[in-house]
Order: sequence, then C-alpha cells, then structure tokens
Amino acid sequence: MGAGALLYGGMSWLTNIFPLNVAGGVDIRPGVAVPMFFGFAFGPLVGFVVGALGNLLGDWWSGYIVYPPDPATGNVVVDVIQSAYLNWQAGNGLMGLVAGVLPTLGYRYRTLTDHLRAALFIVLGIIVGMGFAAFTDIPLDNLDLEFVWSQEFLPAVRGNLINALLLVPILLFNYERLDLRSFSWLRSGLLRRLLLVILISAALPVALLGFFLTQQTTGVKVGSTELTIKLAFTILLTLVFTIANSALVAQSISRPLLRLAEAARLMEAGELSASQAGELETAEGHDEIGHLCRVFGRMAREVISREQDLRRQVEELRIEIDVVKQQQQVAEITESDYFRSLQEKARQMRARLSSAADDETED
Amino acid sequence: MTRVVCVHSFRHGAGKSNLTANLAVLWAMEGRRVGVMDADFGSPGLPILFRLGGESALPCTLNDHLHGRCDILDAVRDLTPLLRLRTGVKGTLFMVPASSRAEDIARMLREHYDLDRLRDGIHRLSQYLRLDVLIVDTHAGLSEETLGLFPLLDVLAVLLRHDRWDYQGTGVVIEVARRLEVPRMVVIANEVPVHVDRDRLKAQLQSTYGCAVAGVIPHSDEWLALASGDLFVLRYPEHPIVGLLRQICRSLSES
Repeated sequence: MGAGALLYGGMSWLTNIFPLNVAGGVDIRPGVAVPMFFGFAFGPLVGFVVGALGNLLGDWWSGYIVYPPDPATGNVVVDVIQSAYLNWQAGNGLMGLVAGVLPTLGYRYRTLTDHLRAALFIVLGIIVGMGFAAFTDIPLDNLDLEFVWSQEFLPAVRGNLINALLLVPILLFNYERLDLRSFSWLRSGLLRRLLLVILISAALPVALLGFFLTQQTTGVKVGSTELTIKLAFTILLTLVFTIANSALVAQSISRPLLRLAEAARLMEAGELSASQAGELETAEGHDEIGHLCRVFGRMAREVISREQDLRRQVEELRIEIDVVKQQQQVAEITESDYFRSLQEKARQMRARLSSAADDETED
Repeated sequence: MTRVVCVHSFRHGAGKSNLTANLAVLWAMEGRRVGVMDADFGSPGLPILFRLGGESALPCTLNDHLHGRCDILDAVRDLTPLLRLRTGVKGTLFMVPASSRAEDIARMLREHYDLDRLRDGIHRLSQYLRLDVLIVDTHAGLSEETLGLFPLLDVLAVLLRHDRWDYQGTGVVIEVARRLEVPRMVVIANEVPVHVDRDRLKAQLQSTYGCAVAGVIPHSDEWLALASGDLFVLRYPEHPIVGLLRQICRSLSES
C-alpha cells in the first residue's frame, strides 16, 4: 500500500511537466494507472489509500500544497481542504476504490470479457473520482458549474482515461499471468529474445528522444535542472516499464510452454496421468499457446485412454488350454512305436550318462 | 561335461534361430566355450544371422556328416575371430551349419537321417572342442527328427509367443519332453506386447506349465527392424532386452 502510494506520488511529480490545461492543475499522468491497478489487484481499500495518499504526496513534492494552510475563508476545515486539495485527493482515492470493487465480486482478468469489464470500471472509477473532486470545487472554491465542467472535470476525465485505458489493461494482463514463486521462466530463451527486440525497437528510440528533449530544455533558464532530472527519470521509468513489461509478456508465453514441455516429457516417460492431460485440455486463453495446450491435452488423453484399453484387453487374455485336446495331441505322438522305442533309447542313454558321471566323480 | 541346450518352439516363427544365435554369443562373451549347431534342416538360418557367406563358403555341413559324406569336425566354423572383431571380447564360439542348398533341404525332408550319427556328432563336437555349452537349433513342431533330439538334451527351452495356439502347443511339447526325461525344461515368452504385465504373465506361464520361466521378452521394434540382418546383442549391446537375454542364459545354465 505504502509502496503503491509512493509510486503514484513519485510518478505524479515526475510527469507534472506536461500540463494539459492551465487551469485545475490536471496533467498528463501515466501514474494514474497505479491506484487503479492496485484497486483491481488488491481491493477497494488499497486502491483508495494508494490513490489518495499517492496523489497527496505527488502534489506535495510538486509544491502544489500550501503549508501552513492559507486562512482564506477563516473556516479552518475549508481552509485545510482547499490548501491540500483534499477533495482531489479523495477523488483520486475513489478511482482506486471503484476499481477495487471488481475483485470483491470475484472477477479475474483472464479473458477478453474480463478485460472489457475492467475497462468499464476504469471509466466508471474516473468519472466518479474526478466528478467528486471537480464538483466539490463548486461549493469549496465558489466556482460555477460551467467552469468546473469544461476546465476541470472534462480535461481530468479525458487525461486520466487515456492514461488508464492504455496502461491498466497491460498491467492487469501481466498481473494475471505473474507467478513470482517459479523462476523457471528466467531460463527462457524467449525472454532474452523478446527483451532484446523490445529494447531495440522501443526503448532506444525513447532514450534518444529523451536525450534530445533534455538537450532542448537545458536552454531554458528557470528550473532547468529540475526539468532535466524529471526527464531523465521519465526516460528511466519508461525503460524500466518497457523491460518489465516485455519480461512479463515473455513469461506469460514461456510459462505455459514450459508446462507443455514438461507434460511432453512425462508423456514420453509414460508418467502423464489422465487428470494432468485433462488439465491441459481445459487450459484457458484465446491465443495460440492456449490452443496448443488444449490440442496437446486432448491428444495426450486419447493416447492414454487407448493405452489403457490395450492394457485391459491384454489383461483379459488368459492362457487358456484345452486339456482334453492337449492330451489327445500328446497321445497321438506318444502312442506310436517310434516314440516308444525313442523313450526306451532315452532311458538307456540317461542311465549311461548318469553312470558315466558317477565314474567321473569316482575318478 | 558339455551342456546340450535346445531352444524349441511348437510353431514356426517364434524367433528360435534368432534367440539361439544371440544366446550363443552372450555365452561366448561370458567366457564359455560355446558351440551352436543348426539342426533346422528345413530352414537353416544361422549363417545368415552370423552374416556368413552363402553355400560356397560351406564346404561341409551337418547334412554331409549325417549322410556320411564328411566328419562333423570338418563342418565346424570357428566364429571366435568374428566375435572378437565385433565385440572385442575374447570368447570362443563355434558353429556347425546346416546346408542351405535346395537339394540338401529336399533330401532331408524326404528321408530320415540316422539319429545315432547326430548323437555321435554332438558327442564328438563336445569332446574335441571341449565345449561348455552346445546350443542346438531345431525345426519347430514335434516331427520325429526333433523328438529324436530330445533324449540328448540337458535343457529344453520352449519358446512361445503371446498367442492362444502357441499356449496350447507348448503344453504338448512340454508333456512329450517330460516323457522323454529331459532333465530341465524352461519356458521363454517372446514378442510379448509391451502393455502386458510381464511379471503376471510369468506367474501365469509358470502355473500353467509347471516349469520355470526363463524369461519374458517384450516386443522390440529394433529387433524386428534388424530382420535377421544382424544379431541383436551385437547391434544393441546396451539395450534392456540384452539384460533379459543374459538372465535367460543364467537360467539355462542352472540345473
């Protein structure tokens, strides 16, 4: 919770250099994804605290908070709320809170429907949160509805919507497939490849762009150092975000593949159980890997059941001997004169052999 | 004393000659002095398995001995150098082939040979070559020639396949051999489907025939693919089946 608040605060501060609108202090803030993600992941309380506390920290670091409170109205409560923008902090908290409703209803983020549902809650959360913050400015700041609607509510909703709808689904997608207990995916060759590709195709241009931007801003006298630091941090964060995301995506691909490889190994050794095959067969996901898992699971189950059928069939085959027929066959052979003479000869030979053996032992 | 062993089967095609040759090689590799005799006059197969040349390479055969045309010792082929070449093991292995010439085969089918000459031949081979084991490959079934061999045997191994007909016939072979007082009889199951529980089959065979089961050999694609072009134990020395064959050797050596 604390980490989430710090992250949100830090990101808000870092990105306040891009003012969307002169009025209202509503900026382009990719950080807005943080409280919503925490809400989706950990529930309404965490979402609210991360949103409210994080935004407060961001505003504090950005220097928006007036301290000690400006005694503008003489009413201490109203003064504190106005100086610390507490209604806006609460609004940010509400965004996380609304998102947090989804996990309490037991929903996950696996299928397309899940993600569409989450997107709906993002929109809802932003409208509720920003609506609360903007429209409480009317009595608090004595602003008129028209101004609040066009200069605060709409820009805030628009900016936050763009950021949240872009980032939250990616975070949720990865969160759903995240498995920190198993590190087998670290061995993944896929991960290395994906990291390299994404690093080259996305992160390097961003880094270059950032470099040019910092070069440009060093010409601006006022606050240029702070701006440079902020840009550098933004670039760094972008890089971290890119790398972390590609790692998570690679993991989401390689983990089911590793599981599949393990199943194939077990099958080769004849140790794959029908229930394990059934698990693979009911694997979720609309992508090619999910499809492959299901096909493999079905194939494995069929092979296993065929093998079991064979085994059953073989076990049912008993050694059946028709004793009467056998005796008949034996009699046909043994009741000939040839056999009788052979039997006699055999008896003589065995006797001779055993006496020869006796002689040998006597020697 | 030479131990005279015969791998026999009620039906043709159980894998008799193949098993005979492989067991002979394994015994020789263990350091025994081994002779292998092809008395399957109807379909002599040992020279092919040992990858020896055709009939021109065989100036004298067991057939010639039985018809009084040569001494059995002249029909002996020393396979010791071949064995050493293939395995690096210094074993001693002799082979007495049967003739693969069509006229000789026809003659054998037409006339009975003199059992006493065969008996004498086996005796002379054992003595002169100082054999530990002489393993004889015979014709399947219970013809008079085959029966005539039974009084000479120390061990009769009846090879059968996982097949109802074979189960029936094996019972007959064992009963007949019992009446000819063969001292030791064992059963070997060959080409057993891989899904069969081998321990269970072994117990079933044992109780059905009342004699020891020397081995249950599972079906092997590798063995089948060799198509008698080579000996399994030489081509796949590390294969688990070779371990099974060694156990069979041990079982046949017991008295």
